[in-house]
Amino acid sequence: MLRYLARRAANALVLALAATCLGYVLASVALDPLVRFRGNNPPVPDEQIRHALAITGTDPNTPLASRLWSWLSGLAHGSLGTSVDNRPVTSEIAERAGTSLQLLVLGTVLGVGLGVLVGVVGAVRQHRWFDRVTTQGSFVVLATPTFVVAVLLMVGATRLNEAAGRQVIRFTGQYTPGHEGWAAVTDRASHLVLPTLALVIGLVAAFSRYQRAAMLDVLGTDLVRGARAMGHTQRSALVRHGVRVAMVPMSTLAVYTAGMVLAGATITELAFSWHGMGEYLLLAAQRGDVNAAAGTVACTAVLVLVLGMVADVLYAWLDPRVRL
Amino acid sequence: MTTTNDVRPLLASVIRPSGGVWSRVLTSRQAWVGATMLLTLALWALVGPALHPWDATYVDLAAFGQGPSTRHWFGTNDIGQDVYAQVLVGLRKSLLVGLVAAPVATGLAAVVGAVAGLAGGWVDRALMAAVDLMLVIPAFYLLVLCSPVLARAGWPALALAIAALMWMVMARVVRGQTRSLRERGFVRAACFSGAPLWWVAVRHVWPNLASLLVADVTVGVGTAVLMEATMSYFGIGVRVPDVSLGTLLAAGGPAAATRPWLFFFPALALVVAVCAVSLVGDAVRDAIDAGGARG
Amino acid sequence: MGEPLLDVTDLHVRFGEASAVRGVDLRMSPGEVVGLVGESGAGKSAFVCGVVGLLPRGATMTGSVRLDRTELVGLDDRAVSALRGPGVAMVFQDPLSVLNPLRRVGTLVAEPLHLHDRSLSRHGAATRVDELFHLVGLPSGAQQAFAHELSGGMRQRVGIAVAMACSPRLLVADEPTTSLDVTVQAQVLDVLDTARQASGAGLLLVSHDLGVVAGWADRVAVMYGGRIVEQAQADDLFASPQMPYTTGLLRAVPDPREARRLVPVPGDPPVAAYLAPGCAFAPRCPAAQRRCTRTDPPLAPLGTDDTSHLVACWRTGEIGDDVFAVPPPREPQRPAPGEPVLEIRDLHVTHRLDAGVWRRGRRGQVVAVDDVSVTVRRGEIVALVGESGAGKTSTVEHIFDGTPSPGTVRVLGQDLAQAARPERRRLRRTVQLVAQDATDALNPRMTVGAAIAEPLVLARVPRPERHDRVAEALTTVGLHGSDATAYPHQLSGGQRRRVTVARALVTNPELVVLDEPVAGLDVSVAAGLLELLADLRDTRGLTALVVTHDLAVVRHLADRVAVMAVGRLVEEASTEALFTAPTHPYTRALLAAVPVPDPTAPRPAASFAPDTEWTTPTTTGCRLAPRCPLFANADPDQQTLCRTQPPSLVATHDPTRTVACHWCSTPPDDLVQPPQDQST
Repeated sequence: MLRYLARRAANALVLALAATCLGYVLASVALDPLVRFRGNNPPVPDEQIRHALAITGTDPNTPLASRLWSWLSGLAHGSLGTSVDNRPVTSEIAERAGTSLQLLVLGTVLGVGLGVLVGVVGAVRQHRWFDRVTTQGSFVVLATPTFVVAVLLMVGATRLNEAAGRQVIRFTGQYTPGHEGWAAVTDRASHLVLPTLALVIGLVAAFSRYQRAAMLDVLGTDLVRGARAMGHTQRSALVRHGVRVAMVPMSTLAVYTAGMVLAGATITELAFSWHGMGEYLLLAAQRGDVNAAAGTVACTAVLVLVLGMVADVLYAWLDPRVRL
Repeated sequence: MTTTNDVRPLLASVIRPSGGVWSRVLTSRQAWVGATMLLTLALWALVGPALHPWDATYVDLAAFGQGPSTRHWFGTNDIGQDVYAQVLVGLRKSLLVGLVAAPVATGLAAVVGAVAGLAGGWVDRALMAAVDLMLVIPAFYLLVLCSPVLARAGWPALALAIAALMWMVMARVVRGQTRSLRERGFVRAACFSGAPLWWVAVRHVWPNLASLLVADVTVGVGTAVLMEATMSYFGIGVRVPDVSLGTLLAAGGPAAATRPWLFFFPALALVVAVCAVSLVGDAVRDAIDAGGARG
Repeated sequence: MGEPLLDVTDLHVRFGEASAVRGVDLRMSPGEVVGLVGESGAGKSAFVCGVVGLLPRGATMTGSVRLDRTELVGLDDRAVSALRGPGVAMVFQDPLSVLNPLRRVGTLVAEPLHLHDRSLSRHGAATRVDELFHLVGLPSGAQQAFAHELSGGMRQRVGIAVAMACSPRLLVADEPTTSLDVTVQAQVLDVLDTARQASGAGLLLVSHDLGVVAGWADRVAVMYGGRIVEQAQADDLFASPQMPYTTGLLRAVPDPREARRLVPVPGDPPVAAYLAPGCAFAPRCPAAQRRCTRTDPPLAPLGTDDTSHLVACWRTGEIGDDVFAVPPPREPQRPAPGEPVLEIRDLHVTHRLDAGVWRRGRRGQVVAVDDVSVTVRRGEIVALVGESGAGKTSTVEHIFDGTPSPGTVRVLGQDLAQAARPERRRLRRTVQLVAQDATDALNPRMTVGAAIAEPLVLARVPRPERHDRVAEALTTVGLHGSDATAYPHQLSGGQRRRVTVARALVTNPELVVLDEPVAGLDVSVAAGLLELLADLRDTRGLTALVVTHDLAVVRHLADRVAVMAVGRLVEEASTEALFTAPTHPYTRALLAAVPVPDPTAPRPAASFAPDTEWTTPTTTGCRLAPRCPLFANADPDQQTLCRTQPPSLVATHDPTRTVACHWCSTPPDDLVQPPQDQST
């Protein structure tokens, strides 16, 4: 099992490096570092532009390969370069990553856990009301973009607050300035409710469908027949033997799922105007900030791969066949 | 529903192509509901403007930010444009983006997957490494990264960019299926007889994955529409002067609590459209899975 | 017959419109072994699932199933589940898909114990699991294994242990050995029988294999089209079958003991959804009369004094032995074999052991084929026989995909590895493969005509000629020209197999390689195909290499036999010589283990040691040594030789025979005698 995980980790490391390079190259090609100097009146002096480009290492006259190389050597020393507003990208990302991770971890754990649970119950009670409601509900949720869910939740919260006559749920930003101690904690928690909900709803819909479908696949196999032949009832055969077996194929989609979850979290965070990684990338794209964009992409890639690794560990734990 | 109920088995028995997937699709209630919704919606997007006098860009100086009424069915926005007309225009654009992006993505997946699966060796490894690489960076991030370029190029480029970020998972599936097909007797027999790669792909691989690919296109339309809407909502997708459901939602979002019609009508159109497409796609996929399970 | 253990009356099982079981009556006494035979679609599985209450959703069951006087039909899931285990238990065909891959097999065996006895202590369960592992002949260390780590035979032993855990009164085994090799099959069936005797359970043994049923069952019921059409004591049924279907079945099955001609039953087994009124067999029955097609005959005693033999036929007693009469033996004027068409010399094939789906790279190598030489001459049929893992498939694949390996493959005298590319392609085309699984070998999206024409298209044969040759090939294999427009799924299994033969013949190859030509076919259909191949051999001088595990097929078709085991040739001889006097201990074991459709013959014996001790094949010395009875009883000096020196094929006093064994020239005969006949 350790060998398996070590191999996966090595694979992930190579992929992370490649994704980082790809991110930098794409950012360099797609973003125009001169964009913020254009249209100024009076025009920015050439000297100043050159100076600014030299600081960020994004002079278009330098060959892309050598720009990439110097950026990578910076990365080797733990620096992601300087952003256009002269701040180190590394510290900016470190700040924002905390914000993003908070939502990501909470949302993923809740979303996947609840999703699997709903899927199991739905499969066990196939065609009963619970199954029908969750199946059709998840269909609609999956057809609804995350930001629409977010807006709907905000509208709902506004109505709730109006009805209650006070701020029951707060949802703009991450926290209300001025709170201290315990009040600050509850304030932050209150701000977390809606974004988490927005993320979790989508994940529950997706994962309950996976789990339900996988369970129903197992239902048709000899595995359940075998369990029933031992003396299990249909339901206990499905629960005792089906759940774990059904989770195996799901965990093989790890990296893909991780990317999906991360994108969902990013969109949620943007919709609630949190100052997270998504916003940073969006800003970077608007300001032609190559280093910030490349840095964000690199961190994202690492995050996706880490999530993928977590899923791999789960997979190895679930299925003895990979523990060789 | 009674009429369709009578028609379904009949149609299935008449068409009944080899394999049985399509007959299962045709007998699936889900597929019929989805198809009916989709056709209605498409019909509406086409003839809808004729039912209502307003043009999407016309400014009604007598109605700024008014709610739904007999004059403006879906209300008007802050500068007096008719929301009904705008939703129709937006729906058309959104569906168009989806209809361009999904087949391109599936086509790419079919080619890459089949080549990787049949060629094997380093070609396979290189293509799959590329797929892995693209899966590591979430599609949304790549789209944001490329948004300055896309802004200059207009909606067809956006559609293609979305397609370029949707094919990877399917390419893996096609590769996996191709590899198992390659172990099948008929593909091996063709290879023994000296069939070149393209022959095997065209004659053996794609025909046997037809239903899978169709399902992918259908599901892909929904995914692409959702991606477009999300991009546009954050201001990096479809841009003025083009109107899509995403741009309408972006415009209506801030006012969702005060002037809900600006947000809810486009949102409803979007959800219904995506639901309809995924109902059909899902039914096709279920039919394939049922066939697989029964052998 | 006292109080019956199982009493089934008028059982019907329906899947929607289709009736899979149509009124079955069956009684079993405690401790009795009843064999249930039938071809695909006969309703065996539906019947068995009905008896144990494991029918899939959507199936409806009516009638009565009484187990020890408890009525099972209409009982709710919880109540039936409580009976499954202590009352009735099941052994499945494919233990790998039944055993949970994520649990250790020891816990799986313990599971039914805990399920049916909540108060059972962990220690008590462990003791019982030890007992059960001992009972089925597994080392107790195997409890820690996962199902995928065990061999097929070991897995099925685990399956039997699970079934026996709660000492059921009735054991139902649904094709328990169909996916196993013959030498393992004999062992597993013996284990099943021992386990049954230990608890005094009745055994319902379901099989398509008449030999298996003949060897192990006391009483036999024959199913056809959802009904039992004949039922009698085993000896009685095999000696004097009454129902024409039973007669046909017995005449269609090849017997490894003699190369008599086979009588194919025309047509195909019925499909449950499309059953016409009347006797289900009437459309295929040469003795059918008008009333046979009108009403179904009841299952009635053969005579007033003989109530043990039941037959469902309107014409019982009217028809004699001439239904499905055996035609006179072939007397072909076959020329002596000509020049070599295919020569394989000293072939070695190694397979990379990929570590799994997730890991690329190799973990090691397995020698699949080790120093194998086979020659096929023009006009002769050579059989390559062996069990799974023997390396026969690897040998055949090497001819076709030709990855570089030590050894040479010559076609028409030319070395494939040396030939220039176009020449090599031309030579390859002169060798055609008929793959094992016809459903797999035909593209479901291509018409039969297109499939047969494909090799011609790729060989750039012009269109009009292509058309003629496709039609000709179809006629050769007994199909109609009009079948060219059909899709594979519109044909029956036997027809599909014929299509693959037609595709192989259409290019007029010098040599046809037949991979398991009748595997998976029903007996009555297989007979037709074997007769067709024999006809091609006699009339067209078919040159073929037949690769199979089925010794009866070999006996029927081949002129010469090469026996493979664990990657090496162990014996090669003319068919006649091999079957009458097998020399190598492995060949003897193989022949002794083949089930024979005759209850009076000695029961198939497992004279090779069980594969439960099967370790990784040793690379030095004889790879068969760990299971070989000769080795086990040899003195230490002799054992050293076996362990260190791989035996090579050496000539014997019989000029047509070569054997690879250190001790076969002077075999201590008593060591390789099959064990005493246990059937009495």
